[in-house]
Amino acid sequence: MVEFGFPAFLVLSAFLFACGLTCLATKRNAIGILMGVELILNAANLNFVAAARFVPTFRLEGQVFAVLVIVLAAAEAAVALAIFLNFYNNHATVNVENATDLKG
Amino acid sequence: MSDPTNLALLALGLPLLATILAAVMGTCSTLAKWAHLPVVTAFAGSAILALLVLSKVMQATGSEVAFLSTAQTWFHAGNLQVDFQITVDPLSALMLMTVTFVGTWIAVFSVGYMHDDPGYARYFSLMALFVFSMCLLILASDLLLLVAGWEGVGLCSYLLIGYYYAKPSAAAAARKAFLVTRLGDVGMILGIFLFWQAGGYHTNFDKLFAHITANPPDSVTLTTACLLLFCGAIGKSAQFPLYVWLPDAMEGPTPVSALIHAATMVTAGVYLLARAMPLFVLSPDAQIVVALIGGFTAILSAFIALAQHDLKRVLAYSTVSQLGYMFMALGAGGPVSANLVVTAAIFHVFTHAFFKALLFLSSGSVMHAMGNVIDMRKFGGLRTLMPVTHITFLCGAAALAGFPLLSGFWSKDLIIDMVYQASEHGGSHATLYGLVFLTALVTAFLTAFYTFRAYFLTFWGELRTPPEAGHHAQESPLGLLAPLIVLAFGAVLAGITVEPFAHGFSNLLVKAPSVVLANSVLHVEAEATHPHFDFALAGISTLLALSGMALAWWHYRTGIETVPAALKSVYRLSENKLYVDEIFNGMFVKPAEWLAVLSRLCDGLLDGVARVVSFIPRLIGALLKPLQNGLVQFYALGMVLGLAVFLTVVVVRTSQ
Amino acid sequence: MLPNSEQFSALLSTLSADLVAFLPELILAGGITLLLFLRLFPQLCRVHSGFVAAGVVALALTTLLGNGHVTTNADWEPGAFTGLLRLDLFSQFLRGLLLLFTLLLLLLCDQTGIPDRDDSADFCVLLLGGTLGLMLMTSANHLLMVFIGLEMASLPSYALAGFLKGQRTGSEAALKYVVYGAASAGVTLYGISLLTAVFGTGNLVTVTQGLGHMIADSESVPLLPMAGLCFLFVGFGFKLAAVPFQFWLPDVFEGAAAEVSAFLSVASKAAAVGLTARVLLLLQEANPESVRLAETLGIALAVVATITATWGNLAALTQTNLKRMLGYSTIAHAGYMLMALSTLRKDGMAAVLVYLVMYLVMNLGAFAVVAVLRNRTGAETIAACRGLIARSPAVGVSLTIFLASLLGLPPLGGFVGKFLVFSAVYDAGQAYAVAGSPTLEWVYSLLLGVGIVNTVVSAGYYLAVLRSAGLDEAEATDASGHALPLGEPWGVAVYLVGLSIVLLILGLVWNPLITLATSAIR
Repeated sequence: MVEFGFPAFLVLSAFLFACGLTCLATKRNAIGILMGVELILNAANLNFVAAARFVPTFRLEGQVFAVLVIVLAAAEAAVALAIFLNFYNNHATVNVENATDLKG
Repeated sequence: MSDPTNLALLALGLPLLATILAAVMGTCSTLAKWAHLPVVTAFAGSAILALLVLSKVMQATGSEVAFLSTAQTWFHAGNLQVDFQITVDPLSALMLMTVTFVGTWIAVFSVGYMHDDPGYARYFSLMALFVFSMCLLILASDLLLLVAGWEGVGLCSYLLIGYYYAKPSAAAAARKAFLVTRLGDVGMILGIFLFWQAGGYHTNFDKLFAHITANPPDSVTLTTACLLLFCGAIGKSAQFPLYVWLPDAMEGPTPVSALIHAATMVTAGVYLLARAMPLFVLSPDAQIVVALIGGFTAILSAFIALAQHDLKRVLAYSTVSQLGYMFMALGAGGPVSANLVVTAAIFHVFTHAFFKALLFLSSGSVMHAMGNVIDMRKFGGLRTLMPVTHITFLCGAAALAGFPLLSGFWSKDLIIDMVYQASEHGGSHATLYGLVFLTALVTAFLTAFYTFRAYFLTFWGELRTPPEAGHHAQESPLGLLAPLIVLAFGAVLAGITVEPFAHGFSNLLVKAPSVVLANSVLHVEAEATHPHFDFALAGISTLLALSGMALAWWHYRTGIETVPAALKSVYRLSENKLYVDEIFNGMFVKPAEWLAVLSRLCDGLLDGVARVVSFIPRLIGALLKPLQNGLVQFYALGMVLGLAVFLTVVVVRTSQ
Repeated sequence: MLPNSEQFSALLSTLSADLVAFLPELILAGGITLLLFLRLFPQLCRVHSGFVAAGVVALALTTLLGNGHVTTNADWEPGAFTGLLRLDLFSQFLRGLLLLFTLLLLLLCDQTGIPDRDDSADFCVLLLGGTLGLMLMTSANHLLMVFIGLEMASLPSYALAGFLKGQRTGSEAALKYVVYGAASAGVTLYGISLLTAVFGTGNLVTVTQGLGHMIADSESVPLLPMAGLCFLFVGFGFKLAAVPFQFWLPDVFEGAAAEVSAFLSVASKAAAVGLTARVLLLLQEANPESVRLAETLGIALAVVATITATWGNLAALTQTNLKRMLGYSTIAHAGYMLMALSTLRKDGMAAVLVYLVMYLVMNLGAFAVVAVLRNRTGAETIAACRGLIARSPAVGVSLTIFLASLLGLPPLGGFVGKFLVFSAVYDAGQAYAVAGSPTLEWVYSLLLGVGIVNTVVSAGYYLAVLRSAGLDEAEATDASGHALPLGEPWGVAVYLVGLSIVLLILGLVWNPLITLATSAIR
């Protein structure tokens, strides 16, 4: 079994982060954008757990970070979905291209 | 409470409180007609407090008496540190007492005079603000705090002169007063800047004076700064050439004229110079200019007053003339020791406050009875109709004319004495001071003549009333007469009880720090210089006053004005105010209008340029608009790109 | 790392003191619970939840003021609750500011009635929850608290932005806000994860000291921590609406209710500025002598500040919707505040604190006027302001004062704020020149020039509104051609006039405020 070092996790999380950003900037469906956000959050979370594993002083703190981030991400998703639902009620779509009443 | 600064702060705060209360009461129509209550109460309270403050100052011992409140930093920027601090010294205590006392009786008079006026609450609120600003000006320990009060006074005068704002002449007079005094203020601000620079960046009076007297700047700077400061006084205290606003200022309600002329506004310039005496005595050139301007203003306005038909206008010009006297006295500081000239000037402020308030309120009473007519050609012989007003006006007129033993006699005599002494010890400027002395004597004669001309025209001869007065023209009610009677006693007695025998003022003012400092600059031993009573000079001025009065009696006792043919041209000259307004119009206003036309042309050009320049930001703004296109992905792209730029910068910077 | 037993007992001993210092937040949390529970009892439905919330905030505010300057936990770690929070004078100042603002906003909402009776409790819960999050942000001493504070403040704000449920624009505003908000929170978190991974802890002091030394001492700074810092500031920049993260703001402000916009514009900004200022201060304290920090971070911030202020002012020029214009003006003001922050000096930070106080009053006032206009005329456009002074002197004159203050005319509070910021920028240039960096002197002089030019440009749109309010004829006239009175309730008039008077007083007597701000920065 190959033991991966800390840099490998950093690279993986950076890749996830980039995926998230791309998703954010290209998806037209609001749910898709939310998924991009989740990717970014999980990229960060990956960093936290990896650092908890490899940085000795961060062992406990990293795990606390990770758990709290999961909780907050769930809360955020709940609020975001509620807002999307509200948007759907008014626009009958969750395609963000329809959200162009406000501009200028 | 042994510290009089607390009392003085309270005396300062009461009018402000009254301002707010009266303004709030004005919003409710049932309360509005009681708006005088807080104001009169506050003024009376301030007057009592001012009296207490004065008694504390009188009880204080030592060669220098000054109480300072604890300094609260007002603002601080760079090396400009301005504190909110008040000074109670003999000078400010005397002025505070004068202002609040006379102000109280004017407010009492206003209650009767202004009743049923739609702007009743506004009027009283502004009166209170006016007195507050003046008190702030008087008590300020700092030049900039003084300026705050000074501007407040200017604002209130604008609002009160233009009180009948629907009347075009009132609005014009208000604007004139504001703009003309503003001209002087510009000079004053420049002067303050100069002193601030030369005075070690202090604006606090004590620190500034100490610094300047210890390290005097070169004489050109000093004289320039003093004269610039004097510009402010010229504007506010209506000296030549900026006196033109004051005669027009009677467009406001008559009690306001009384307030402006007697207590709150025009004395501000005199007070400023008295306080800044240590600076002015350093510059003999500035002092002679002050004295000359005072002298010229005095005789000029006395001459104009000779042939005015409007009773209030005569009084207005007499104010300008009397202020000229005060500046003559102040200008004599240097050749004469500072405590004497300040005593003379402030003493005259004090007596003048009484008799001028009295005269204005009496003429207000006349106006009240005559249905707001004030032209002396339209009425006459009122002494049987209005006996009380007649007596009080006579008291005021006699005091103004310098009738022996009345208040004006003593203070004017003291000033003439000062100028005479200056002409004896004036050094290189002795001849000029001599000229000022002669002016003062001639003006004394003219004053007596025009004052009694107005008196005889109004009260003597056959009873005539204008149609506006109706058939029931009668003496004013008691509410109006009471202040007149009180002030009449003041006008008669205010002089003899204080100077030149009791030394009430001179003993006090010699202890004022600024006076002490000015004396030390002049190397004068203060104790040795009480004002003495010069019987020869008093005799001469009495003779002049009596002959002026006699001439007026001889010519005007019928109450009808006739002009001898030989004097027609002189009369016309005086009647038309020496054509000063016309000259100003030709010299300044007309060229200014041409300049305005020229500027308008340039303006059109510049406007075009400005339009083009101001169009550019608008254009860029319009270009930014498509970027905010509301598209979620576009925004996200923008932000991601921004993030990418930042990251690139970081990568580039860190990999160096 | 777990504390050992000694440290643990030390912790317990300071816990009560920490809790006392934390009492305002606890009161807020209690208030939120109370508001939620009130609905269980139908008898209590008559109780106006707005007043309950206002009472709770007032209580929290008095508690905060009563605490004096409590600084806790000097023995073990600097900071309360094992160093998670730092309840010092700085946070005291900002928490007080936030509570005061929320109180004023609740009073305004009571007057304008934007949450109707049924929704009032929800609105108040969200508002109090947001305030609680913002307060945590300003007192955070640990990156975890930074993130929790950010999220606690953001989540209620998203919901508030879409509070007007039936409106298309409202739901669009909420959508945009939540999408970008969540994304920027993710970016911030990613930055936090990098920083904590490098320094092995989330403690802000340790992290900033490490960063500060890295920037100051070594020739080349490692990529990872710098990238982390960059991501962190991107998150802050989003909250501050600094260019290029400003896109969301005008849309959200236009779509949300004016009261909510006021909350986002003032409270959210105050907390973000406070948090940024705290991080920058800690960085600066880590190496007070070095100009290298200013040469790296200061210049970057100055550039962002320049673009932000200019963008906000230029874009505001062409607006027709008053609320959107105020949104752009918010961006511009964020630019001014960033200018002061970019000095990385204590007097700059103090200037920002004073600026925030002035900004609170004037911006709240401006949005309050928008709310009144919306209620009385149904429009939020600049055209709706026509003849406002004639239609309602109280509202018109107050609007004049608020906008003149936003423009920075003396003697109003806004002038003081702007003056302090500009003089701080000037002083910074001089100080860095003395410290031996002519580049920085040049940068800050340029920044000062940009600030002044921007102020001139901003006159273009503020004065346009004032001209419309003062000189234009009112559209709504009665039969004889007189302007129809606006008919605002007297409570609103008193509220607006009160705010204007406060603004005037702040513009005249500002020294105590500066003293307070300076002592808060220390």
